[in-house]
Amino acid sequence: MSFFDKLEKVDPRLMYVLLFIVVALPLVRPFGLPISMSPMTVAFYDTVEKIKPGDVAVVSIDYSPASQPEQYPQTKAVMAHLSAKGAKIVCLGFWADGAPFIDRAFKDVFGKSKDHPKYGTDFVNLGWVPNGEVGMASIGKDIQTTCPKDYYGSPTAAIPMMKDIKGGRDFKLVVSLASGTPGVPEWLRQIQAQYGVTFLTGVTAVSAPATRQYFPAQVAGVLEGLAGAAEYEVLLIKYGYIGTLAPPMDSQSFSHLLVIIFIVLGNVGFVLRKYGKAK
Amino acid sequence: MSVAIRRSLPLVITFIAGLLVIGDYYLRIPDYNKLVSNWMSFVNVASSFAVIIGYVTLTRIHARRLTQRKAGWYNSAALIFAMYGLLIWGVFLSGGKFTADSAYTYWFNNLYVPLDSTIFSMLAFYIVSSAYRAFRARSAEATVLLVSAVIVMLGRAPVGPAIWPDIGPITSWIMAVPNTAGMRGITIGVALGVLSMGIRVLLGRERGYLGPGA
Amino acid sequence: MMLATLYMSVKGIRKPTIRKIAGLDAIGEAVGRATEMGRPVHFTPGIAGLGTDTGPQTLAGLSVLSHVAELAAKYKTTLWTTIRIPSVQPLAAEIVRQAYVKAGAPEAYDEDKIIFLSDTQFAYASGVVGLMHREKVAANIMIGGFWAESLLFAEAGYLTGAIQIAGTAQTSQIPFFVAACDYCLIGEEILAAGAYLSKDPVQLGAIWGTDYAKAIAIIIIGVGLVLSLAGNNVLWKLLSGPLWT
Repeated sequence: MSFFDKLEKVDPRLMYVLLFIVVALPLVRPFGLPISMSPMTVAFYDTVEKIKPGDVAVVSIDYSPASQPEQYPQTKAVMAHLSAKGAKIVCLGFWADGAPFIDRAFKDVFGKSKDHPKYGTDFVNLGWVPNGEVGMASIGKDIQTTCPKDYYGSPTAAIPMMKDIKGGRDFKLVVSLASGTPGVPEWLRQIQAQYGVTFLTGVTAVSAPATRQYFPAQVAGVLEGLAGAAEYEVLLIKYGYIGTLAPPMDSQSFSHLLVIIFIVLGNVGFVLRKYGKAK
Repeated sequence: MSVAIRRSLPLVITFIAGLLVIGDYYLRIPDYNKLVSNWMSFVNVASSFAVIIGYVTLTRIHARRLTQRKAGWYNSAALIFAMYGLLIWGVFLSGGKFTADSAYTYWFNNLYVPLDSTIFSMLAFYIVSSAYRAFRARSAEATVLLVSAVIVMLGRAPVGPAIWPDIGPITSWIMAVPNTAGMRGITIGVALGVLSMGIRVLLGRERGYLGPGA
Repeated sequence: MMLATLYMSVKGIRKPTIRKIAGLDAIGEAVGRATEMGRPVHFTPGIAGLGTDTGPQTLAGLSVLSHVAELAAKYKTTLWTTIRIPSVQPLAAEIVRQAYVKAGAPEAYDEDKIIFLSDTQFAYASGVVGLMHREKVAANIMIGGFWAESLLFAEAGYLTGAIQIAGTAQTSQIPFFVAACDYCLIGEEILAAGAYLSKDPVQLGAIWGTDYAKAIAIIIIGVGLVLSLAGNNVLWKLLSGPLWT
């Protein structure tokens, strides 16, 4: 096999080992590359900035543990920002294995969850709402009937902040952190289109191109993957938010560079072979 | 029950249920809207019973592998142990709280979350090998794909703007204009296809969901 | 309009035709290749259920499964069908059984080869990848609703040397299939699969009606574009929410 043939047929195992190294190295020894802003993240931030104290913000955890590395940082940042703006945060989820992250996020952002003195007045965890889009339609009509108890077993009607929250007409903002179905299109159909609620979303990087088509008419802002979360953390510095995504962003940078290098090598081998310069 | 009724009854139920929900979208009659809301709650509950089919199928297949000591029977043993162990723990030992119980959450956080994240992370490796194979300048279109992929990969990571500050706006343009146009076209086409299939299902012309021979 | 085209097609007033779809034509080639190599075929109708808006994709996948199963029965090739949604499993099993009966090989039907792996996305994905590697599948056909696991399947198929035919309407996953598979059906091509393979007049009429609907959508987009450029947003207001104030 000539050198140019080898360029075209690199063993995938070599690629995997090199990828592991370039991802792991910055986590051990961060390089500190500056994080640039995406217009989607800025739009997301600006929309949350318009929230007034007492406005009801629904945060929906629509991802599984698979997307947790990308979307859990988004979750924490969003909750911190909404809390800083004085919003009443109603958390729920349409993915059964995503709902446990709400409790974890409360503990990471507020220090405690159900034992927090402001639980029930400033934030509430309604847990998993079954049956996807049908469940979304139900909470839009009547959230109290759809979620009769919160995640910890307390009656929703007895929770102070839920007394005035009946359904979609009472939501000022919906933030869906989604990695699949049910997710953005379902929220747009059942809540945004029906009640005119301002809608924001945080998605995995792979879903970002598909989510852009709804911006800006239906989706007011998008956090796109880990990069979006890192950019958002930078914008939240003014609220004292301490971000943790600079090293992973370095990993992402070098992994992208590695992919590009391999693509270039493959094309060099392909072009030279095609034009007969290979031996 | 006669064959004619067995074939027609599901279609009639589908038609009525479909009309109920469609009507709810357009009509604002409180009693009717309440009926549809209750109907959807009923659907929520009924659909959840489908998980029992999954449990029965998995138990049947893996119990047979275990008892017959087929190749990889220990994997079947692990599956049955994990499936029923966590079910029993969640329903009985945690008092039905599942992940609201700290002990159950321990297994969720330290077993399920790492496993799920690990399988998803394999995608990163596969994307490298897949991109290396697929992005070749075989034609003009493939070259455009290749160049735009490289620009977007650089633009969406901090290293891109660090190398060339203007790559950010170019990346944003690629995402906002050609990408969005293509996505919207496909989405509209798919939505119309889904609408067409929905009409066929409502009218009983599409019976695939009832099984063959329906 | 869709009802009108359905009616005209069913009554034979007009016989619509569907353009060539290379991926669907290649199914016979794929099953034949697997037969020659003495290795099995793997089929998955996706991970979407039947009761959501992605249900039509699963139905499309099941209509292709019927065709694939019939070919596999005819060529005496092993067919593995993996399922993620429990309620789809009995449906898929019955479709495959009927296909084997139709091909005249009912004794070759093995219900253990229509296997429900898990209803958790990545548990299902790891099950499929493991099966493809263990069985060394020679043809991998994936038609239906797919999400993040799409590339896992496609790469696993590539590593086993399988010929791969994939199709999905999930816009975020189409690029992965296009990059990694030999043939890819894009978007609503999978919804036309049933009509293409069966030539059923009802399905053909529905596809025909959908084309007219697309033409109307294009006209509305054009009118909206002209109005927007002229500074008039009446059409935009008419089509955007909220519907009820």
